[in-house]
Amino acid sequence: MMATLLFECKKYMKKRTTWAALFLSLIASIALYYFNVSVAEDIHRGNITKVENNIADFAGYVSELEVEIEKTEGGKNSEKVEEIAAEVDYFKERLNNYEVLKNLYVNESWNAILQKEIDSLTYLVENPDISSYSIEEQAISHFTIRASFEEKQLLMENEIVPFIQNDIHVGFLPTVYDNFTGNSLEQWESMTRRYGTTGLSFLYQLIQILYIPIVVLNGCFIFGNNISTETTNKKKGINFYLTLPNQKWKLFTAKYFSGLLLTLGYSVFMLLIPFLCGVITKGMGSLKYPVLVYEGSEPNPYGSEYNELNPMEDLFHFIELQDYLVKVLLFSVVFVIFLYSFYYFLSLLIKNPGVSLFLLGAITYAGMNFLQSPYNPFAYVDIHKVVTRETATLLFNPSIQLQTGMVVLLAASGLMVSLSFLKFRFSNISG
Amino acid sequence: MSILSISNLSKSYKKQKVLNRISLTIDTPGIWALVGPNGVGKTTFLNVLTNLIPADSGDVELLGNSNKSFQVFKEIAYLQDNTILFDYLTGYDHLKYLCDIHKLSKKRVPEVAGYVGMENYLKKTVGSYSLGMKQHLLLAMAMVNKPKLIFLDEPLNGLDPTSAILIRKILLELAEQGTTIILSSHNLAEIDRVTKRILFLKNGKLIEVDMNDHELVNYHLVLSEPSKAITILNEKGFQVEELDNGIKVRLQNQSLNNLIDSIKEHAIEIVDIQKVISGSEKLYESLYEV
Repeated sequence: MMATLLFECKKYMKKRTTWAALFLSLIASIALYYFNVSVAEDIHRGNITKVENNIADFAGYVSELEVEIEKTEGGKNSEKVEEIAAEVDYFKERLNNYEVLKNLYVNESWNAILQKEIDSLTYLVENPDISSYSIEEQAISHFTIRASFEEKQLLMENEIVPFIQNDIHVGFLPTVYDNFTGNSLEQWESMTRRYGTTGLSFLYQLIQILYIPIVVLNGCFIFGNNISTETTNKKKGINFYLTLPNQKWKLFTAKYFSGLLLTLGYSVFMLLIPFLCGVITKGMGSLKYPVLVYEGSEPNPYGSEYNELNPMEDLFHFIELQDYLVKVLLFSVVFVIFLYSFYYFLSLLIKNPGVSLFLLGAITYAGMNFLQSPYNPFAYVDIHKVVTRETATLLFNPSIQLQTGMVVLLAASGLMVSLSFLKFRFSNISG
Repeated sequence: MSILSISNLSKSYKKQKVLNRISLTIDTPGIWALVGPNGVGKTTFLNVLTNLIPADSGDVELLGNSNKSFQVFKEIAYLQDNTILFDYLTGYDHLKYLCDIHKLSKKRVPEVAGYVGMENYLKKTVGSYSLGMKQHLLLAMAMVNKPKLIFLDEPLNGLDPTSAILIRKILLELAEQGTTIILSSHNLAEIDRVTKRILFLKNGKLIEVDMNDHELVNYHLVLSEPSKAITILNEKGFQVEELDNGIKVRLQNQSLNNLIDSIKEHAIEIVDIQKVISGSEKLYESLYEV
C-alpha cells in the first residue's frame, strides 16, 4: 500500500497542472495580502486626513470666533465676548486634541490611541441606561460597547497593535448583537471592517472570511480526482492498478490518503503563504491578540420563537489568538477530511472535477445557510464562528461547538469514505 | 493444474451477447492468438479473463486460481492499450512502481528496459513517446514480474517493421522459456509467424483451431492434360480444383510423391509445380465470410 501511496504522490508532483494550480494559488494569496495591505495603508492615511480636516475645521472656527471677539470688543459687549471666548477655548481644546491625535496616528502610537478610545468608552460602559453611541439614531448595542472596551484594555495591557479601522474615534469590535439597517448598516460595516497587516493578524482576518473552506475546496479540486480521472474513456489508468497484485481496499486507501495528505499539505501551504507575507512585510504580530468568544444567551422557556439576545446581560470572554489558532487548525484538519471525503464521493459519481466542485460548493452553501442543526456537518463550515461560538449564540444552540463539530464531521467523513469505497468496490470502476 | 481454464463464461452488453457460454482449457505453454474482427469482443474477453470486467456467469481460473483473487496477478500480466499509461511520468517511473509492487529490486528496471530496447528513452516522460515506444513500455511492464501467463491486447498495433520484428522475437523467446501468451491481434500475417494455435471469436463463441491441422497446403500444377488429370486424381481421393492455367490440388493425408506418381502413371507431363500454403487468413475469410 505504501508503494502505491508514494506512487500516487509522485504522480501529483509530476503533473504540470498541479504546479500550475499551486503557482496560481501562490500568486492569488500574495496578491490578496498586498491588496489588503494597500487598503489598510489607504485607510490609515485616510484616518490621518480625517484628523487633519478636523484640525483645519477647528482652526477655522477659532479664527472666525477670534475675529468676532475683536468686532464685539469694539462694541464693548463684555458678556458676549466672554461667551465667544469660552467657545474659542473649547474649540482650541478640541483643536489641540486633534493635533495630539494626528501625531499619535502619524507616529503609530497605538497604546495612546487605545487609551483615548478606552476613555471614550468608559462612560458608555458604566452608564448604559443614560448613554449610548448611535449611528444615525440607531444605537450600538451595549454588548458591543462592553466587548470593544474590554478588547481595547487587553490590547493595551499586552501592547498589541490593533487592526486598522476606518474610524478615528472608537474602533468598535463588531458583534452579532447589533442589528443596523439601511445607511447605518453601511456606515457600521465601513467603520468596523478590520484590516490586519502583520502575519498573525492577516491570518486571523482571513479565517473570518471563509478563507479555509475556499482553500480546502481548491485543494479537493486539485487532489481529489485520482480515481475519477482515471476511469474515463480516454484515460483508463485505474486498469493499470487493477491488473496488479493490489487488493482493492488497499488501492482505494492509498489513493484516498494520497489525495487527502496533499489536500492537507496544500491547505497548510495556503495558510502559510499569507502568514509569511505578513511576517516578511510587517512582522509576525502578537499571539496574545484577544479573540471574542460569546457565552450565549438563555433560551426563552416559552419557545424558541421568543428567543432573543440580551445585549445588557449576555456574557463573553476573550481568548488569546494562539489558543484560537490551535483550535482553528485542529478543527481545520477534521474539516479538510470531511470536505475531501465528500468531494471524493461526488467525483466518483460524476467524474467531472468542475461539476463536482460546483456541486460541492452549492451543497456547502445550502448546508451552511438552510439547515442549522448541530447534526448538520455544514453548520461547521465557518470555523471562526464555531470557535468563537457565534453560530451557537445566534441559533441559541450551545451544542454547536468544537467537540460536537469534530464528532459530526468525522462521522460524516466516515460515511462518505464508506460510500466511496462501496462505489469503487462494487461498481464496474474499470475504464 | 491448467494454465487457463474457462467454463461457461458469458458476458452481455444490453441485449448483445459478447461472450456466450465459452469454455476453454489451456494446459500447455505457448502462444495462443485471439482473432476476430473489430467489435467482436476480443478486448472484452481479455478484460473478463483478468476480471477487469465482471462476467455475467461462468468461472475463470488462471494458473489454478480464480481470476477474482488479486494474487493471480503475481504470476500473470496483462498488456492493455496505452490509455493506462500516465503521460506525465517516465517509463522508469512506471517500471519502478511495478518492481515495488512485485517486491523486486529496482535493478530489474534497466534489465527489462534493455530487453525491449527502450533504454534510450526510459527517463523521458511517456507523453513524449511515439506509439511504438509506448508499446515497448507496455511490453516491458508486462515482463517485469517474469509472468507465467501474459495477456497481450493488440501489442503490434501501430508498430514499424523493426519494432514488430523485435516484439515477435521477444514473444517467441518468452514462449520458448515456458510462458503462455494469449495474444489478441488483427495482424494475421504476424500471428502466422508466431503461433499455430488460434482462437477465433465469433458470435460470442470461441473456435479453437490448431493451424497444424488446418493449414492448407495446395499445389498449383501446370499439366499437359489437365482434364484427364482431374478425373484421375478425383478417383484417387485428391481434392482438385481447375484453374485457368492448370489445376490446384489440396493435400490432406497424401504426400507430394503420391500426387506426382499418380499423374505420371498416366503419362501426363508436369510442366510446372508450385507449393502454396494458406494460413490463418484463409480460415479467417471463410469463418467471417469476408
